[in-house]
Amino acid sequence: MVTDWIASVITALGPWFTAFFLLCIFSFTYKENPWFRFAEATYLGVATAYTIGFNLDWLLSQWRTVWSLTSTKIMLFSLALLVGLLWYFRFSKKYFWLYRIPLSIAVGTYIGLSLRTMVFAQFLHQIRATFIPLVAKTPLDTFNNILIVIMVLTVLLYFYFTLEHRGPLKYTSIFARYTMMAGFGAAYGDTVMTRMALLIGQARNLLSHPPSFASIAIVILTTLLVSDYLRVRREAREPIKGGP
Amino acid sequence: MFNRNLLFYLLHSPDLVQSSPERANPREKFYLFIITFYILGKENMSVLQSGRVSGLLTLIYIIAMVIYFTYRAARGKVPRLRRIPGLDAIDEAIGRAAEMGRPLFISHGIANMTDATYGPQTIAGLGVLSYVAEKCSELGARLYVPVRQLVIWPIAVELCETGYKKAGRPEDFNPTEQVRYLSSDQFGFSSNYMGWMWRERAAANIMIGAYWAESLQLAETGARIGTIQVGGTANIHQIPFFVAACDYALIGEEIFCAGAYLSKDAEMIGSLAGQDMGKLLGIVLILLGVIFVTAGSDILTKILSW
Repeated sequence: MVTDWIASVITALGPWFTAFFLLCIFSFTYKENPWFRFAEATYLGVATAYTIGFNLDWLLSQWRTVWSLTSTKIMLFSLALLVGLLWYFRFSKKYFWLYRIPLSIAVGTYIGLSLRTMVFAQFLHQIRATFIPLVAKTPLDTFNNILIVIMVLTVLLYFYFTLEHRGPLKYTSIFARYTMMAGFGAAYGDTVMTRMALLIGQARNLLSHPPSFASIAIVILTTLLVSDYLRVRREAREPIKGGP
Repeated sequence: MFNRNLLFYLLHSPDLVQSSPERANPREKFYLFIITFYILGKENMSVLQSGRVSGLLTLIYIIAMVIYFTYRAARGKVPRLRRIPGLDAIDEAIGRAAEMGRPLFISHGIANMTDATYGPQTIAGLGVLSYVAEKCSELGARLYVPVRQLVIWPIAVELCETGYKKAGRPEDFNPTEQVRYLSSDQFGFSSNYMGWMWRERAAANIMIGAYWAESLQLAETGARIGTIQVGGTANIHQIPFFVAACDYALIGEEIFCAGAYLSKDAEMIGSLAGQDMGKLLGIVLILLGVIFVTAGSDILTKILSW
């Protein structure tokens, strides 16, 4: 009964909390202020608590569904837990070096795993994708293919660190920079469009609720403007430090 | 299918092992290992898998080049690195922070070190942190390090501690104050980073590592409070934001040579020369591949798919 009541209250207040924290965070576009600070601290606390809860829950579900089934798995799980506990030795002045054991295991394992795939995904597949004929069916395709090959080669040369960009390399380096800037421009536009879509989504979310949400915006804006006005007046009255 | 009976027979063969595999002597164990490896290779899992041989050979070539050039550099033949303005600007940023008496922020991105794809960027960022901590301590600039990943916090602390010790001022370093774990949540981290930077009126902000949507939030905040900013990432979609909002931008691969470039460590520079040989291999393969494909032959494509 009580839990149902709490759930209904939270459901009813949910949109208000959303609007309030959204506007508090947006207020940073004006300047850093106490509203933003409040939202920031709340977000930090909630996110940290959520991370701890989520990880503990994951650990428990792993134990229940996978690692408690056979004695070998129980032993392996216990070993992993023990290795994990070594992290806490970071707080011991005498045995702090023990935390490096789980760290080295984690870093070594994942770097080894990445080597297995990276040489294909970021090297050989890219090279194979550039194997395109310089003479294509249409003049436009021919031009396109030649341009792609030149761009890839010049950009690769740009990242050759043990050669100074002098002589012919100076010109390939300039061409590579223009190539990359063209790519970055396209990526910038693409990402900004996505962000605009997100902004519009949030604006619609706010506008679709009763206009009383505007009261939150008015309170935040008014307090910011008034506090700024008071600060400017106070500063105008105070004598300049170091002055006569 | 894996031939279990054959393996069982071989492991328990009286000719091969006198008693049992557990009590076999080292020589017998070696034979057992070879036989097991052979059976596994023949019956179940091939040692050389089709489609992965070219990758193995490429890896061996690059690793061999890195080892060779590192060895050469250790013996005094250090290759010269070309100038990278973004990395030269780091000293300028530290100097500015020291002169203004305002703090310098340095972040190594938000990816975990253990992340298979993005981890190397974090390691590159930590390489820069090591250098910056030492320089900040030397010049008396206040250093702040926002951290997103729990695993990285102790490493960042240790790097800073070492830097301060190298500069002869370990007492100036306060780990809990200067290296702060903010939040594992992406935007929890970025909102706190933004607020912290603003409240402290940072003089400089260095961001080198893997960044995603928070890149522009951080860089834009730094620009609004007038910091000198150096940003670098290998995440293609985030480089444009650093190029647009930072004073100096490091593009992609440039962040991986930051540690070697700043520390001027001979062996690290040697390893960079080894990596350059990998790029040279790429250039040669592309040129050959394009020529072959234009001539109507796909032999190189097949070799690379081997």
